[in-house]
Amino acid sequence: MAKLLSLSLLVVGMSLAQPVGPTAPIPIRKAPEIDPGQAAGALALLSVGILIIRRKK
Amino acid sequence: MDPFRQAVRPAAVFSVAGDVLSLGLVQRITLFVLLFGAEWIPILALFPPGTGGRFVFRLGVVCASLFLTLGCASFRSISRELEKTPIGSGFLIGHACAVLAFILLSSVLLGDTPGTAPAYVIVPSRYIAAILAVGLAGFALVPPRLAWRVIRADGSAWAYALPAGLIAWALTQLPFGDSIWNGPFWRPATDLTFYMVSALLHLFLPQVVADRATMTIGAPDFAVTIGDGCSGWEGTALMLVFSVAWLCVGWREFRMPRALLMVPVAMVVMWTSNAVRIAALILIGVAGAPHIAMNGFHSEAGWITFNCVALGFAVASRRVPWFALRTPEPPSRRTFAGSSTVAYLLPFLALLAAAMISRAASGGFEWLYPLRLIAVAAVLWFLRPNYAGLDWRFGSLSLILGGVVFAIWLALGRFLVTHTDNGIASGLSLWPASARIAWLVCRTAAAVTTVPVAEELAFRGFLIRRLISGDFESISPRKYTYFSVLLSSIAFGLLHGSYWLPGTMAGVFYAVAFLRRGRIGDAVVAHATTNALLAAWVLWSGNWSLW
Repeated sequence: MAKLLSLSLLVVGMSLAQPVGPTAPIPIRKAPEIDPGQAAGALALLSVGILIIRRKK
Repeated sequence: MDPFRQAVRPAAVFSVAGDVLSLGLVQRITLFVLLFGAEWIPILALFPPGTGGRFVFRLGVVCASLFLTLGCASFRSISRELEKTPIGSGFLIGHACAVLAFILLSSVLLGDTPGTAPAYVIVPSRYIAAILAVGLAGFALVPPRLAWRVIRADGSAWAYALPAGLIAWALTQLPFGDSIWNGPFWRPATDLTFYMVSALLHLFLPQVVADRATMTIGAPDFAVTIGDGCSGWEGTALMLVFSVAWLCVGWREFRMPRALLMVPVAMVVMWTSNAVRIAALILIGVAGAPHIAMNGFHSEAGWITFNCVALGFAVASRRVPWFALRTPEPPSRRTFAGSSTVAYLLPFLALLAAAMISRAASGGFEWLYPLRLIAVAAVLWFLRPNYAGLDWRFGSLSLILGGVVFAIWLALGRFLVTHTDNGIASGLSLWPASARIAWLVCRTAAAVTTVPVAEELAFRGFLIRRLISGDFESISPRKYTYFSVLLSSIAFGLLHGSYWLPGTMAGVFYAVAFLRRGRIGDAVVAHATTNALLAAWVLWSGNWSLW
């Protein structure tokens, strides 16, 4: 199972490393259409949510 | 007293800087990515796009992904050993030489005056230099002996993963693959989204305009075109990344392999919610707010949806007994409000969530900004017993540091940031004087009170210590590592978009204010001072782009 997960993540990692293009299907490569501040805010919210969900105290 | 004298002194030796730092696998991979990020920007600027300048960076991303993935299996033991291992200065020097060689060979190959060496020598040499640059940087951070252990930690998984990854990468590179990746292959997906949106709109609208040929859909007076980018693949791909990463992190908490079923379920939910998002956008436009539909809602609703689905997935994965090995007791209101993690982070979460909703409801001018003030104030009031034990006192140095940050913010903003119209001036000019004053009061009050409190609790009160230990409360508020201060400051800076550099510097100054005496009050007052001066400057000069 770990192999399957490793493989999945690597495939995703490889896909994310594709060139920037107007029709590239993975969103975070479509830099011109994404406001970095917006993306940072959204990912910060997700991170904070995860820290709260996985809190120990 | 110099606050940096209070630094944690772990065992490992950071030989390059001659200082002492404890760097585990995650920290080293972070350094690896930062290093390549710093090198990639000038390299891209040196050479025109499409000439292979991105190759080094891509290779770095792939290697970091590979190590992070494979390192999960033996994360703790590898990390413990890495903490005692110095960074290899020899490998680092070799890396610098390889990068220089790559740049020189690129200049020879792509420059106006080609050198005498033939291209069949230069081209392979250039790629060898790039591979060496990546490899040597990797070995500087993770020595070859430990790197081999990371790779072998999951048996021969790398032997399956590497060819699969290379095939996936090739599919995005080759002309044939590119036509599959970006062309008609995805058309059925766009079709499906189109029909789902159409079905949803029929529930609310008496007359739906739907042209399959142009993918235009809506009502007679407001319609949109569903592009390939809106087909739902973007959010679904992000959901794939998130759900797999989530299962990897909490591997031992789930019933495997059945927990893997959550991945396609989450992707389907994400896909469906994209259709709901497009339908909602059209309904907002039809209801008479096309500017909100096409501006704020269009750009923010995707992130809101992704966050809701991802966090819902995270909670559900731990609560559903069929997937989770041990389901934690649902927290009561009392235990939730009494949690120190919640007390430090929930105000910031409320700030971020309110900001997203507020921006989604705007058509250029963020008229709903007071929501940020109200949301954070409500959370702080709800959790107020937790804050009684914190030290809210402050010294005069905090005021000075806040003023210094203000000066840096203005100076760097003037030279480094391209100011854009945020719609405040034009938006306020349409309002009556009383509403205008009320909005400005709320905007200033949020900047000076709730925003500094929420952000300082999260970044200085929580994150600096959380980066040192999972049990952050056991760490004294005066203790830190250089890594924890730097990373928390970078995270703080990145939240400020194009102001990331002054934001990062501000993070360091507020950290100094906090760590000097370990008082959250010092950091909050320094931050509030900066924001108050900034508000005064904006109101006095009319330079609204600084807000």
